[in-house]
Amino acid sequence: MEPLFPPWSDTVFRVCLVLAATGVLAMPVAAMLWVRTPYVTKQNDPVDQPVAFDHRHHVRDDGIDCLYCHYEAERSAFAAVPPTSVCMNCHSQVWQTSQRLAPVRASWFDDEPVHWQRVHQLPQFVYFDHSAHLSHGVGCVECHGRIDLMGQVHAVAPLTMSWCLACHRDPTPRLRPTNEITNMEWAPPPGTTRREAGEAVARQLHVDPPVSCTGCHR
Amino acid sequence: MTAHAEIPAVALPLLREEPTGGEEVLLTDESDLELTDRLLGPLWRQWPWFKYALAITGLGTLVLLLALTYTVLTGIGLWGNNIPVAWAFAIINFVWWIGIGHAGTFISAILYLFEVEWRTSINRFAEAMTLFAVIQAGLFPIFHMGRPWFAYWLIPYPSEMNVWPQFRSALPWDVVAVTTYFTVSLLFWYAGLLPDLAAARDRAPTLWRRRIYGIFALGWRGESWHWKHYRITYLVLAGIATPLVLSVHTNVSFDFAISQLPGWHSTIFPPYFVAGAIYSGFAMVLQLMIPARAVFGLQKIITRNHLDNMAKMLLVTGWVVTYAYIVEPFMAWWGGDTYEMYDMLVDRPLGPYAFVYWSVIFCNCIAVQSLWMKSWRTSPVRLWVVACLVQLGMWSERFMLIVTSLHRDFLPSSWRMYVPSWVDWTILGGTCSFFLFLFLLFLRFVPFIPISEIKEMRHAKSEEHARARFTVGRVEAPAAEVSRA
Amino acid sequence: MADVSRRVVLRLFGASAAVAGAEACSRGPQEYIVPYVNQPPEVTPSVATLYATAMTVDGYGMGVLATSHEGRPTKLEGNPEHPASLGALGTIEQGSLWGLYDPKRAQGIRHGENPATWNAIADVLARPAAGGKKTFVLLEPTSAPHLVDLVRRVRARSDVFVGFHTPLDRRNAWEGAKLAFGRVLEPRWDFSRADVVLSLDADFLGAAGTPQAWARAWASRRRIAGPNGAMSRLYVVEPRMSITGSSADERLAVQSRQVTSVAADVVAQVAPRGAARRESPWARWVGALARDLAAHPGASLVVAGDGQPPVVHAMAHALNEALGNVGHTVTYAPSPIFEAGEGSHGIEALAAAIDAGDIGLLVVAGGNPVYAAPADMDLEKRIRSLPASVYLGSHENETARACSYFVPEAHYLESWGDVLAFDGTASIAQPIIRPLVADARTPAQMLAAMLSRREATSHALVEEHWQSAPTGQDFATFWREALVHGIVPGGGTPAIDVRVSWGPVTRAVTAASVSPAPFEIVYFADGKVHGGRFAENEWLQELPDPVTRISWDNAALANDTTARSIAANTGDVVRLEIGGRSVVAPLFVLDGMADGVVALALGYGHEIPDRASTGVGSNAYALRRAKALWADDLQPSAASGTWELARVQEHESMEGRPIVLHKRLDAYRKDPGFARELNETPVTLYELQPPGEHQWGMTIDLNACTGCSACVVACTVENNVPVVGKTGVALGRVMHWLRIDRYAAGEMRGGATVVQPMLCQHCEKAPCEYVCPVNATVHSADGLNEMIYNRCVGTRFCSNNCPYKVRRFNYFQYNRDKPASLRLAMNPDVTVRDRGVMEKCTYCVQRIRQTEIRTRRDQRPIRDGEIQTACQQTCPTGAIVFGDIADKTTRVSAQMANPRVYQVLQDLGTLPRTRYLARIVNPNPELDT
Repeated sequence: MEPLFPPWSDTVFRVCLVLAATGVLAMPVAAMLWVRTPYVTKQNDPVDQPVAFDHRHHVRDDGIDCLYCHYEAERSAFAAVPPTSVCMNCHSQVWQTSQRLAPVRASWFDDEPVHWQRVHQLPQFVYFDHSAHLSHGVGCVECHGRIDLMGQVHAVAPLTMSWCLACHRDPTPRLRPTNEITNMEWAPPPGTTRREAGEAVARQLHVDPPVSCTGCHR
Repeated sequence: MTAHAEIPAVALPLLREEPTGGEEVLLTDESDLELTDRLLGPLWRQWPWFKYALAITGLGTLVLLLALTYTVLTGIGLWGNNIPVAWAFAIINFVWWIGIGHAGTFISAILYLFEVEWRTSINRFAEAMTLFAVIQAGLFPIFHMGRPWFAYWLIPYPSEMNVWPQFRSALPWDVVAVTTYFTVSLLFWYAGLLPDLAAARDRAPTLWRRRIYGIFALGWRGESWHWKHYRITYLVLAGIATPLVLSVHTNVSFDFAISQLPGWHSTIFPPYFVAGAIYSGFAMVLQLMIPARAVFGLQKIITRNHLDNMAKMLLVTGWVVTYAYIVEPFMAWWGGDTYEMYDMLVDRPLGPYAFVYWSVIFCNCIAVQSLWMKSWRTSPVRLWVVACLVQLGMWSERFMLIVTSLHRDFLPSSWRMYVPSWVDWTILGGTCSFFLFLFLLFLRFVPFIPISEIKEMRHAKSEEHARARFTVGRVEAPAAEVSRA
Repeated sequence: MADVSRRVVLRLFGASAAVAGAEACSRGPQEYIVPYVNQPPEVTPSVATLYATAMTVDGYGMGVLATSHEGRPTKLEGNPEHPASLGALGTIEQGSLWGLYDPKRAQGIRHGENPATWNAIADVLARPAAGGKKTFVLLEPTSAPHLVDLVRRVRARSDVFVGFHTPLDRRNAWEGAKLAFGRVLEPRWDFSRADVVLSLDADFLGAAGTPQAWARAWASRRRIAGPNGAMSRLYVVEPRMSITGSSADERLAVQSRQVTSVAADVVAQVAPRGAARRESPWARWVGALARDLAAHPGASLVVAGDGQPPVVHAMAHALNEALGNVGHTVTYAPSPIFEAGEGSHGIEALAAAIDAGDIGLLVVAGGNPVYAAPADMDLEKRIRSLPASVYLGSHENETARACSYFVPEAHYLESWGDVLAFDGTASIAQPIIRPLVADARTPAQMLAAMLSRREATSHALVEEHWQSAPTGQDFATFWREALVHGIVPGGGTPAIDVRVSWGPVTRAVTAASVSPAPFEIVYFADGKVHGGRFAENEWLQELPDPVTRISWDNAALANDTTARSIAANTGDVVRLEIGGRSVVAPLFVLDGMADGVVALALGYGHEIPDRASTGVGSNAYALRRAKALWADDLQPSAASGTWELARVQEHESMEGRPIVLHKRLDAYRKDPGFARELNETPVTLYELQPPGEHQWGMTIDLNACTGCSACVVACTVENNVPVVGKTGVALGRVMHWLRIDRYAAGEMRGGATVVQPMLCQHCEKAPCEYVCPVNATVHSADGLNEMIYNRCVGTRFCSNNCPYKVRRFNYFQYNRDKPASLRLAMNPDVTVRDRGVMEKCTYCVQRIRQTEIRTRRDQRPIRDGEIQTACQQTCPTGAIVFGDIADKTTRVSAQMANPRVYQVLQDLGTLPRTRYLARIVNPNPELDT
């Protein structure tokens, strides 16, 4: 009677055992890594906008302050992508014939809003409030990165809950005087660390970010 | 003596005359070869009734799948649950099935450690039953959730939300308890199977079957060192499994005991639940074994002695449960808590769900008393009927504990009745079909009587007789010396 | 505006997808940001704006502050400056928001079956009716100055009659005034100065549309600070159990017709003036009452209800005069309603005109007369007999079917209007949103069209009236001030001095008979559909009736004796028959009803298919006779079958448990600390208070709470609480975060019931928290019991372990399948919960957090009372107080120190943050036996 299995079947069997064992361990780990990848968090992922708006030019060359366009940021939860009217403040004078601005003019004259692509996308059950952060010395750059160096805006922060909590639990290294909020290149005064500078701000503004769930989820 | 099981009717063999001398745990002295052939017989033979039985239970399993899918897609509003009765059938069935799943490990592990010999011919059976019951139980905690797709949040893992499960709650521990229990039971069962799978491999009629059994036999050749390692492994696993018998249902009882609801908030729950679990577990073993024993003509392997012993187990656990039924209202009265007194002394015995309470009392406390009579303990038919009653009683007990406690709690303004929906009933029936479906497959393809252990036991018995005679001789010798002196 | 709604819809898409939380493991959909093209200066996205406007209820004005999110009204609150509201709103006023977004609203103008244009209608209205016949315009009673103008001008067209009809008219009250004073006057009651109040079937605390100011004034005399404080005493004589009745200290249940005799007996005792009375069964009760009234001259008050015949009103006026109350607790002034008490009111005029055959065109502006007119009028047949009829209505309803032309009616939140409050204070009602129904018109625009001004906008019509009105300042300023404050400066019409002519009163007193009927039906308008006006309103239909706790139905209410003589029980179908007409209705046995009385709420039993109102309850109008609008002889009989009532509460007994603490005033004075032991903090080793700076807490004064349920609607609207429908409620899945429990308390006499608003107690040691396997409900630093929907997996363990059973579960997908129009009603500051998650009262945490952000931004502390929960804000009696209990200077801390304060189920050691002030009743010791 010929043998049931060829000699190599033991090896195959052992290999299978090892693979199965590792698979069981690797699968969840892979999933946990996956949700942290920039692909899922949409970090560094340039978004094509209906209008090729260049922050480098507007911020660096023209020296326009963030709050000129995002003028709601200090008093509202939304920083406000500016209404077309704000664009037209200047562009009814300058570049009024540029092809690149055609969509803006179309929006203005047809009373049709521009549909901008959302870059920083939070789940809808997160009630983020810009004004709360600006008024407590959190600079734009802390979350949005060097917008002034971006031709095409992309998210730098993962915007995951753990990322939010890291700062809410220890805000001081990310605080700055409120008059430096929009400064993309602010550095603490010489001889002081960011933490020291931040502690001063925290004392002055009674910074005490919520770590209870309803601080963000209502 | 081999059963002419081509007889399609399952009832006939049930009524067949029992072999005499029911006191023994083994009534055969067939040779090893004969035993092997006999016990492997069911695997090779064709059973005409099998495909019908499989088709029916398979259909039931399909219905279960549909019902569960429908629920997940639509919401558990399809069930009868409401506020205040937010837990109902799903949890009743969960506790019931997980309870049933307790007998297997109890028999195979604890009785093994205590070297109870009548365990041998039934343990494989009981273990398989355990596995299948735990599978049924496992369905409910997941599907009763409002958002089952997030069930993995109950598992502690480093989430990017920096949130962990709530370890003060009993539910995350349930996940651990049940999965551990299932894993260990599975290993235990499989380890025990190895020698018999090898036997099946060697006796299988066709090459393919030999191959398949061969793969699962993991190259068992019955060499002495195989047996050495096998024994150690089995003992160790038995050691691990034993505490689980207590831990699992203890933890399940915490799902209720940690709350402050009258009828749940009680320190007696852990022992009470474990006893109840073993109670319903043994009932289920009997419910399945008695027909199988008759169909496959195993009266000589599974003898009246087995029936007798298991009946006694029913009686014992039955009394533990009864004790709990007495203590609960007594403590309510003794503690003098208004809400508990209402629940225990008014709502359960006299309330709208009184019929459940009284059926519990009848099935679990009164019916089982018939087993004081040996005639009932050893009569397969009567014992089977009692076992069924106990099973029903234990399901009703969970209904009483869960629904009756919830539907009338502290504020009368929120008191409300619970009525199960057709989906509830479908899911309950579905799990029963699924359970039987798996069990049929087990009977068909796995040696459900531990052949090697039976053979071993037979040898042990004959040696015993021999040794007995020899010992008598030895005892006389010294006396002779004395007389010479 | 267009892009606003687009923006909003986008946000709501997100919001409803929110709790699914799929974002956790996948990239999620690409979202858009849609800014304004040209942002209105007053709008700051995410910051809600409040606009003052006014709602018209039965012709009277109620001041409203509408919350607007980027142009969407999402909530209505009372206007504190408005005399009828004082900041509070009742159930129907708050619920009226639904009507704006109602997906079943009539959408287009039509002629017969075919769509038509406004011009076509305007032509019909402008030209005289065919064949030289006349045009009849049927309006609802109105006080709107601009509308009154137009009525006058339309009447100048010689061929036009204008009449007024509402099923809930006040003609009884007006006739009563004529009887007593010889002219139409309306009493203005001041309960805050009354030690003894007698209500003759007047539901002044509960009836929808009554000024919330009354309830507030009454409650100011019930909230006693300590054992030595004084409180008023309320006597109620009524045929059915009303909210006022259940708040009574002494109550006499008699048939509606017998109220006259009771009143007569009181008059005979207080001010005989030669009136002769026979001995009556309630002599002892009346005697005690009369002595009590007489003992408080100038500080008592007798009020009569619209359901009572004129004589009762006359007697009430007479009593008030005899007791010297006039000028103290009651004053008189002309009715703000146009032509109050004149022949133009009532449906009879129309019927007569049609029968006379000289009507060529009927114009019905508002209301639903075909459904609501007395059955014996058979208005439908009469209208169908007309050559042409135009109907302006909010829905394609019974009247719409009977009329040849139909025009959708504009909702008051999308059109301009004006109205006078009960005291004559005028308000200008401004729209909050562009019309959602493009073709919608207002009654004023219909009249304007009859004056060939089809293009006139509602704005133009209102403005031109006020431009011509003497406002005493330049118009622009006046207009702005009026709109900002929601009231026209100058206040109400002054009270006038009148004397009762006793002749007719004394005659009536002598005449009044005491004989009861074997069976009597009593009609009433409940606080839900208000006679049918809100029958399509799912918020209000789902609201449990405050007295019966039935939602989605009306029922034939009768006490046990009556039920037994009809041989029926709760849930059985009974046939109610009057003069050949009959309806079937479910019987509901309710304690406190007078023997022989069967009460049936008006406004149910609509039969138009596929509506919220379809098949809900039974139609009382089908029985109503023009001669007996409020009470009538009845032949009830048991019919076959049963009727499932969706009841929110099925068990009325407290089972002797310490749930609603209540005591008689005298007993309370003997034992002031009776509640103390139920407010003790159990001994514990744990840290009791969380670390936060503020510690939020709430007290509810059961002495002030009447159970009117306004708070329930407020909570529903504020927190996007879904509607589950009749089947859902019947299965026990109602979603209300706040409910009004009602228990029998027989030993209390009076109303013999106690009510208790029950909401999340925010326990310091919350049983729900430690059983949640995923930390979806946890404790916040400021002591809130937080519920995080997006973390909830729905094991429902928390609900099982909640002793108060205030947690609610989304058994189905209640929100995502909503029509888009209803999504616009959602509050964007509160997550829209998805299927499979638990939810509950959050103390309106969105308001707390927003105020925190605002105040910290301004670097200032939160003022006491700056944060108001929705329920507290709208409570007419101010029973609910919310605030910081860590700060001992706050109102809530003061309340917590009140000796009456206690914790529900204190013995469980849950340490609730929500605490109750025990109810004290003030029965007349003279009536003890």
